[in-house]
Amino acid sequence: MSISGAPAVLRLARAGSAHAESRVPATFEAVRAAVADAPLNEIMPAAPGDHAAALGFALAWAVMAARASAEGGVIFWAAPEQDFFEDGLPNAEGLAQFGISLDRLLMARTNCQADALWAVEQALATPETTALCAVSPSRKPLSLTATRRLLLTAEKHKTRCILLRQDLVGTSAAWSRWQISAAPSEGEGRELGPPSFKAHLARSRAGSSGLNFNLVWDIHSHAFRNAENGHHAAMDGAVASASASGQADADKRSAA
Amino acid sequence: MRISAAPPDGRPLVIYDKIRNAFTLTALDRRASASGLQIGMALADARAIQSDLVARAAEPAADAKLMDEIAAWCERFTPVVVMDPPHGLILDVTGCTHLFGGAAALLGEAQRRIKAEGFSVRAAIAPTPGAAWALSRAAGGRCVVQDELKETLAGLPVATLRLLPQSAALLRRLGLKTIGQIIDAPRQPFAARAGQHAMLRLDQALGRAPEALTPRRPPPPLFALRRLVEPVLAMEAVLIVTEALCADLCAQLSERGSGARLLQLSLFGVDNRVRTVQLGLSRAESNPVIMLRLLRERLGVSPETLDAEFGFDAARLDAVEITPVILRPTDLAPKPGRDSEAEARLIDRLTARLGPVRVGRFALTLVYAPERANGWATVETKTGEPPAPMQDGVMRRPLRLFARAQIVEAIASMPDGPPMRFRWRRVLHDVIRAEGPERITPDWLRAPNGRPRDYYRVEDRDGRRYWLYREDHEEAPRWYLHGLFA
Repeated sequence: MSISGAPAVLRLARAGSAHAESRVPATFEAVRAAVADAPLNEIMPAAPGDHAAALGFALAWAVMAARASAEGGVIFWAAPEQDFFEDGLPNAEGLAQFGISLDRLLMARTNCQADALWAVEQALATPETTALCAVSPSRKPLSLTATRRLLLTAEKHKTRCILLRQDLVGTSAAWSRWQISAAPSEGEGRELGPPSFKAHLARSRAGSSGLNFNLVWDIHSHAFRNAENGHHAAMDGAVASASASGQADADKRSAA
Repeated sequence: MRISAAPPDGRPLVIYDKIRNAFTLTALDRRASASGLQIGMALADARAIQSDLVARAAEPAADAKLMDEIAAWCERFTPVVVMDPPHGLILDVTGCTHLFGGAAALLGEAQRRIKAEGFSVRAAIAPTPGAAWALSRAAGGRCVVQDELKETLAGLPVATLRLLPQSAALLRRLGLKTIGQIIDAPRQPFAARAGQHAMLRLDQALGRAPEALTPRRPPPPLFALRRLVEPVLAMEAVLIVTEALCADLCAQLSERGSGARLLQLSLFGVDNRVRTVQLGLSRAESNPVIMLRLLRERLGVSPETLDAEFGFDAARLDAVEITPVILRPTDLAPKPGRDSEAEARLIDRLTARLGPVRVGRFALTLVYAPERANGWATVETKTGEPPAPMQDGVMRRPLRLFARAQIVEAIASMPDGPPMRFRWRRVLHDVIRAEGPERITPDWLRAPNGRPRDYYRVEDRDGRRYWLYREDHEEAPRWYLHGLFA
């Protein structure tokens, strides 16, 4: 966000192309399919309070990726201990209710960020693994080299890596970057509904970016579905404005 | 064998201890013994004989520790080292002598190196532990084979047979001074007079009766040992030695069709300290390449704790735990999917570097207390059957659970109702949706004074979901935040 001084022409050109593409409504499934097999994707909370939502989205993404491989691979989750201290431990009961089979989930709790990255790199060298690497909040962003290392390892072994970032993000080798925030439930009255997310595709190597989706996680089919129409209509205005600002952000970042 | 901490000015040194309310000498150095002092003498008498005596109190605990260190050091010769308190060590060198160029060479090296450390040592090699004991005490530095055992023993005093004091006294009274005089004694009358124990000791020394030894550490079923001509300092050199050891050990393992589950690498330093590195494996391994890679990980994680100082001059790799390897037929058309073998290797690599408690799976315990239901199991333990997900797809339990619930300020519209708004981490949240209460009572056994908790699942204006609970106290209810939903 702090990056400025992007050439105005470039920004205009990108805004134009995005406008042309946006006439064809992009569905979440289509967008996801474009980057689902990418070696490295990035997921980050849109605001500081949204880390639980971002984790939910990342886990859902990992479940979908693991199910895509025949027989289902292992989900490997590495996180520095600091992460647990701040946001609590993963809860086995909750994970099971989220639709994750616990015997497929392998976890490494490391002392420091460097160890977590090393562990993920090891896991990526194991076939049919989906690795989830949590990056704990810090002022210093994960370096481009570190992300590139993960990308290359995953590419080489045909595995998939998801970076769940809470640090300040700069440049990164990831194919896509999703900003996730919590979305209000669609339950009746004061009831809570299934896990729901607002996903903003901030950048994507595979196609247009700056897209917004309102998604609900279906734990039985292990897939996202779009939020109900009525609800969606109510949110439309907000989505449109968010889209515009999101696009500007994305442009600044990709220009950098 | 006592450290030669002689006073610098050359005065005789004695060690004393309190025995039956009297200070008695328990050890003395060469000068003290030359001036006519003896073990068992009263300290006062000794002072009378030798006025410039330096006397120090005995430290049996420190002695025992030192002996243990020496025993650990001796493991460079053989893995079977038996403590023989107070000042003895028995080494079972069966099958190890060839590594040192013969029994005599082994004996010479052991004596030389222990002496170099400032200890006095008497050692001998014999076919039986009893004979070695006798020889080392009566005629140190000898190496006896089975054929000459009997005539060698015949010349030794009976006291070297490890007899009980009363049998030793009896034999002395009877004028039986050397083992030769009792070696062919008629068994029945001899045993009747000197005791069954004396007979047994004689038989053990001669190898007529077995003697069970309890080694300091259980000997590994298989091991590989390398001695180095020059001490190695660099990590790369240590790894090269380790590689050779892995190859040796794996050759032995695959001969038996088994693999190691637990390995221990001992590096013997020139400074006579032993560094050990343990490595657990999740499956029986007999592949030297994998073994080496894991050991490298284990060594690499802490080169400074390895602390080579002046280098290592010997290394031994033990297979502490061995299990048979189950060979599976190779699938010519492998199905893509879960590769449990690759998974096991990954776990090994991770645990080798991060430690076994840091790698695991989540396990569920069927208890109501949420903080106890959430378990963390190391990969070795089997996890239970996970519960079926909720029919409506709504989560009842949070994704993340705080180890200790965090206190929040909350306002509720009704005393028993859900909160209207709450403040957590300095941010005010307006509750839009709430479901509850779900009452969870603490275990009467583990927390007899615990209060029942009323849990609510709430959602704020931004759609963030929290798991809060209320605990009723006398003055006012307290609210806690216990978990976060996606």
